[in-house]
Amino acid sequence: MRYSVPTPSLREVQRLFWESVAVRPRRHSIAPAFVRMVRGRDDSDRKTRIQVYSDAYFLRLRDVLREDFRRVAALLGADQFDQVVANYLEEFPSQQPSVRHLGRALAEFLRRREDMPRCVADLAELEWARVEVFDAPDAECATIEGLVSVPADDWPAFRFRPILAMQILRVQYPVHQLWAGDATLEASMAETSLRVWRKNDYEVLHTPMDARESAALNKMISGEPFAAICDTFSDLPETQAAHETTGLLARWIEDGIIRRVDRAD
Amino acid sequence: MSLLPHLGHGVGLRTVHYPRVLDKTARADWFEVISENFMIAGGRPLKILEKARELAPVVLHGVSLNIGGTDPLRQDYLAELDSLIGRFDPAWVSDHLCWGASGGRFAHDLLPLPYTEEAVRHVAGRVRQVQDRLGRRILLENVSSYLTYAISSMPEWVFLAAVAEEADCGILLDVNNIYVNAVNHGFSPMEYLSGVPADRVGQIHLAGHSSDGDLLIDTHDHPVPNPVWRLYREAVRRFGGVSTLVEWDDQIPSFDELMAEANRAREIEYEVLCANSVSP
Repeated sequence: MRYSVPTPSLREVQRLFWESVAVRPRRHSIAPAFVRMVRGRDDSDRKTRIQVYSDAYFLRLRDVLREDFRRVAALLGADQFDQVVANYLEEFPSQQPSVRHLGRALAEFLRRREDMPRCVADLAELEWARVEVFDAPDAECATIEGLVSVPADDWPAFRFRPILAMQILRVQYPVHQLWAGDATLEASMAETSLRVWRKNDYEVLHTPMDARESAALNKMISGEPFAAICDTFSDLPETQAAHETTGLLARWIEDGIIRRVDRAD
Repeated sequence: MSLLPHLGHGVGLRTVHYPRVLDKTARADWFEVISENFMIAGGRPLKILEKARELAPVVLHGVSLNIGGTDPLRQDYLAELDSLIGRFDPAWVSDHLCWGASGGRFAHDLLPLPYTEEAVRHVAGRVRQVQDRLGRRILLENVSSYLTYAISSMPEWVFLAAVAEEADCGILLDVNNIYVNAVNHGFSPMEYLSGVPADRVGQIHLAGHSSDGDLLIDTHDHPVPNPVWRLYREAVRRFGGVSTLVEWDDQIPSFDELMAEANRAREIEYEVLCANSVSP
């Protein structure tokens, strides 16, 4: 007796293909039913052809993550980074048409891994923030000349607006030192605030902030008026407070993190 | 007669060549860019694309439309593509005749379709949806592949032609991919060329490839090899002058070396068209 085998649907073909190449990266778990769907001289030839796709899947996405997380990759070394990527892709496969979003959860993933030095997740958070600000929305930056146009009486109530290509990170390790190669995986814990921003359209920068700058910047981001930002320095002698405030404002303008001052603001 | 204007011989714009765009010395007939790389909110890439657009026509070439996939078409993706089209006014828009996502997960690869009647109907219906959404005809590119399916009921070129006819879309004919697939699957590249409807071919791709055992891999990391140049010559004989682009995505050479490849394509096209014009 001969049995007719139903032709698999396009959906079924793709389900088996996906299961064979992408669900368990680097584990060579090709579905036998998929092997039978592929033309080839023999099973070995069929598997070789399928393997081209599973290898390409892992290597392509590994390369994307290695580009976005260069410092993490360098610290972990090639083998450990590859293993991290393989595990990460199982849990966080790409869900966006643009591969640019692939690394969005790597810091979170690393933070949950008990076998990973804690500073690595913080470093990944910094590297991802740099990716995000690289192509964040544009904004015209404030200039000293623009600020001069603000009448003196308006200053206390004036609200500065930050550029959109800026992120504030609060991490447990001084990852700017790790990033610069000035520390190792054994870095000591030290709570650190970092400002990450884009300057001149393309230059991504980051810098640690002391407690005062961090507090003042958070006030600016929250939309509090300039008077509230000045209050950050109210425990200092008046002359020093004024000096610190104007110095901070000048630095923010120089760094390009304040949006163009619009008198309608 | 092609359904699109002949823009000449262009190159794929890659980040290493951005300085040549900024200093306005990137003198290509036209640029092709990967659509998804510019689906971003701001920053340098969009500025570079604006500059490139000032220098020459631009074409948007996508890799994640997932036109052959069985997931619903991503409307957010189409909205972003539509927005890019509105901003940069590309000469045309293309993607690949393949699938690349399943269950909401993206492979970021160009995965082969089975060549079946079901797949023809499925893809053509989705192409029509995309064309209706974008208000323009798109081009679909034949992809390189390393496997074929036992259930395929027609050769690749018949599948390509059937999709293009049923969807009323254009074809971006990748001559390197034809050669790669001819070696990998054992068919005649000339038979492929003769099966492609000439009036649907709006663009040609050229590229290099690598060898991995018995298979050729479409790596885009080498100069265009001689067998592909020979096949290009045949393509020009069959399709006439068609906008042609050299792709190079890895181990990318200097812009001038890339242009040398584009200029070689220009010379071949010129030779073939001149020979055709004097033939009886």
